[in-house]
Amino acid sequence: MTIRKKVRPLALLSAILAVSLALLSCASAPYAQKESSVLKLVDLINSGGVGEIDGLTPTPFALDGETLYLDSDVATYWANLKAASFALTDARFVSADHLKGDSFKAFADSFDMKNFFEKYTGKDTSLVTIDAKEGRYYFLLERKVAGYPKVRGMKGPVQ
Amino acid sequence: MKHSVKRIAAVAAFAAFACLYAAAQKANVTYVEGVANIKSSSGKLRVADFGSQVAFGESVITGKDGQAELKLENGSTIRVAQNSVFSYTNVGTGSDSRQVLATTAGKVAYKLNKATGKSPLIQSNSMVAGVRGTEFTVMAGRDGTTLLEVTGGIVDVESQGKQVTLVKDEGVEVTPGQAPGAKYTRPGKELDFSSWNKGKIDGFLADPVAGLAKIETQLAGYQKALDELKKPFEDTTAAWKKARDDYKPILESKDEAAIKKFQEETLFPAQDNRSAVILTIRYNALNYLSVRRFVMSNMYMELKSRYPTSRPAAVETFFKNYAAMLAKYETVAVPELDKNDY
Repeated sequence: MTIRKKVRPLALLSAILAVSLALLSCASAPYAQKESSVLKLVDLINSGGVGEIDGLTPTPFALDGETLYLDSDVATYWANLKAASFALTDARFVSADHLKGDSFKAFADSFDMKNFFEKYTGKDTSLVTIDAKEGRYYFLLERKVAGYPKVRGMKGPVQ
Repeated sequence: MKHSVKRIAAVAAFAAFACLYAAAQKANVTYVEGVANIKSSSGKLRVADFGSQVAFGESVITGKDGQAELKLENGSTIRVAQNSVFSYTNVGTGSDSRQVLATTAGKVAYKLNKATGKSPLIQSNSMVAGVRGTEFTVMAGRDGTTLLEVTGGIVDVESQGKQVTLVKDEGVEVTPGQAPGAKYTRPGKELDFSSWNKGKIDGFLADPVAGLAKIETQLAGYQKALDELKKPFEDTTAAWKKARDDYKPILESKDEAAIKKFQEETLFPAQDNRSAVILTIRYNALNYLSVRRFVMSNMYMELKSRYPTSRPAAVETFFKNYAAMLAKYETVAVPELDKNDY
């Protein structure tokens, strides 16, 4: 009886500790992009709806090897794509990778992109590769906003 | 390469000095509406709020519904409109130091009181201007064109070695890489930035190759200045190194009078001369970066988004020329920049 009284608090403490550690590890683990979410984003791009969701494509935004700093520039980018009926035709998810030291080269092997990746991407940013009829696209995607991965950058199509 | 490393080290050392100096040179944010951020000299973004301070090397970037007002130490006010970028820097050292107030994108209105020291230098991506206790507005179009209108006082606008003096109710437009246009009398109503800027973008879209060529001319001016500074940098560095070497035995002699004399007459002037050259190099390199970042990027975005997959011949030529200009940027400006400039 005495032993049970001592064990219970210990077990409870261990359980709390284990749950806390699990939660902490979840919070600190890099965010992984799922294929389904990425393809949902592609559908949104193809329908021209990206510009309608506040905060989905924040600044600074990487476009190929360029950096867009103004919200109005990013808004213009998506509005122009919509006006041009832009779409990723027959899009196929290829991969979603956590960023490495040389990931910036996928966008451009340049001073600007090296610094963009160092300063404006983090552990939750993934480099997502998509193949489409027009060529290969790269996206920098982060945690979701309104059910879609937040877009930090886009490059393509690369032939 | 070795030369570049040394230059970067010198730039870093000078940046540290500049940071200390900048601590006393700040603009205070006195009003904010909507979204406005401050981009630090290390590239980090923080929200601009009432009481925030903007130091040399920092920029204020406003969102689509944002605006911010800043106050300088002498009571001068700077109003940054929506979708705009205002950059706060300086050029020169010691008593030659001068504030640089730059409208990099969008619209910024200035009401400047008479300065006790040197008056600030007003800048955009296509012109510089000197002011004397005055009130004016600068609009920086996304094609690199600047429009400056004066509502009080006198403004001297300079570009490509040509100068135009504006008085109350006069304005002038400056196309990148060209001398200031003819000055005009301001209409009673303030010009609408959005309409004016749309006209500039439409003009660029009508002939993107010509629009990019104007930017190339503007950048060639910065490149020329950087090339011309190579020799002064080498000379002042050699003089500073010699002074440093000559100083060692004097220092070891522990002759206080000789040490002080050498410091004042040789060592400190050599350091100051070199610092002034380094600051001027950085001033030109940062101007290059500003055009690349806020004008060229916008041109790229406009054409890339309008022609995402197939392009007419003129647009294809634009992208070919653009790539060549980016390669030049990497060799001309980047060696004079460090990652904190990005």
